Amino acid sequence: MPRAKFQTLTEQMFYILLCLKDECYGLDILDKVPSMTAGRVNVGSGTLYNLLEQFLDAQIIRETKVEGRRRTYILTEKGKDMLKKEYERINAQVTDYKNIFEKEEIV
Amino acid sequence: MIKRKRRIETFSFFDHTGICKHLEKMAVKGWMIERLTNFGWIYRRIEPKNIKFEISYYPKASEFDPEPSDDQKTFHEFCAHTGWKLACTCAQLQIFYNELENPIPIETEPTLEVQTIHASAKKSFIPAYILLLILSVLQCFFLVSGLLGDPIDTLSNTAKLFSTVCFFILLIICTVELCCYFSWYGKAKRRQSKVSFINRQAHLFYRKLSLLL
Repeated sequence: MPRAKFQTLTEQMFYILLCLKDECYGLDILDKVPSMTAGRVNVGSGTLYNLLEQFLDAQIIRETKVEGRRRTYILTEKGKDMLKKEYERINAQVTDYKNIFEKEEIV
Repeated sequence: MIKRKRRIETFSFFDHTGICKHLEKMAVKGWMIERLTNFGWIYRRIEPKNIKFEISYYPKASEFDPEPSDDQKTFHEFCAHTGWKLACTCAQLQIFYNELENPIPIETEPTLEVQTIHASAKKSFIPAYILLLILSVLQCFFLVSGLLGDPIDTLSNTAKLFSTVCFFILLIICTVELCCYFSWYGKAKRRQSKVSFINRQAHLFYRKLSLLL
């Protein structure tokens, strides 16, 4: 089944949005994500470019500054809500995992 | 020593995996892609080396653009940041190369990549091939109706017969190209992952045959 657009976020989407909690240059996200995840997650340049465009269209982020071709972005309220929902979804998964495996350990 | 050479390549515009593998082999032999033209691909001589190639599609680009737009240049800057240098572009198709051993791929979200490729296809490749397909069907239809109405006149007109043969070949090319593309697109969409464009061997045979014809 294809994933409904932005209903759940992929790992890369999640980290890109996380980088944009504070104002940030698009290009800097390419370095921020690997350093944030100790190199576990890398975002491709084409993927980042396309996702930023889609996030802008969906009003998940907004442009704050345009200096020539360098643009800075920040999360909108909608983006913050989306990130929070994703956080809650991941937390729910963790709780479900613990419920299953911790029960086994007790038994 | 020859510094440049032109080769007629039998790749589909959207066979990104096949094109990359081919360009990597050419780089090992000491040839770097320089330009894609309608009369073959132009390569320039380089020091033989292992280089990674990647193809990215930029849906907003057009072959009528005199130069890349600012947005497209931004895209190139993003790629340059991860070591991907632009080798050449041809309408929406952009060929990048990277000399690092294990570079971060340009596209790391297969679903998004498939969407981008399809957006590019919808803009140029699909409408052009559908138009050619309609034209060739019409030409074949005119020949059949001519044969039914006045077979002697139709068969004695060599120009008409020749053009119909050409359009018939075009009909086959368009049908195969569109079928290959949609079969790849369906497969990639279902799997939600990056899949090779097509069955290389069968498609290569068909491309060479159509070129020969």
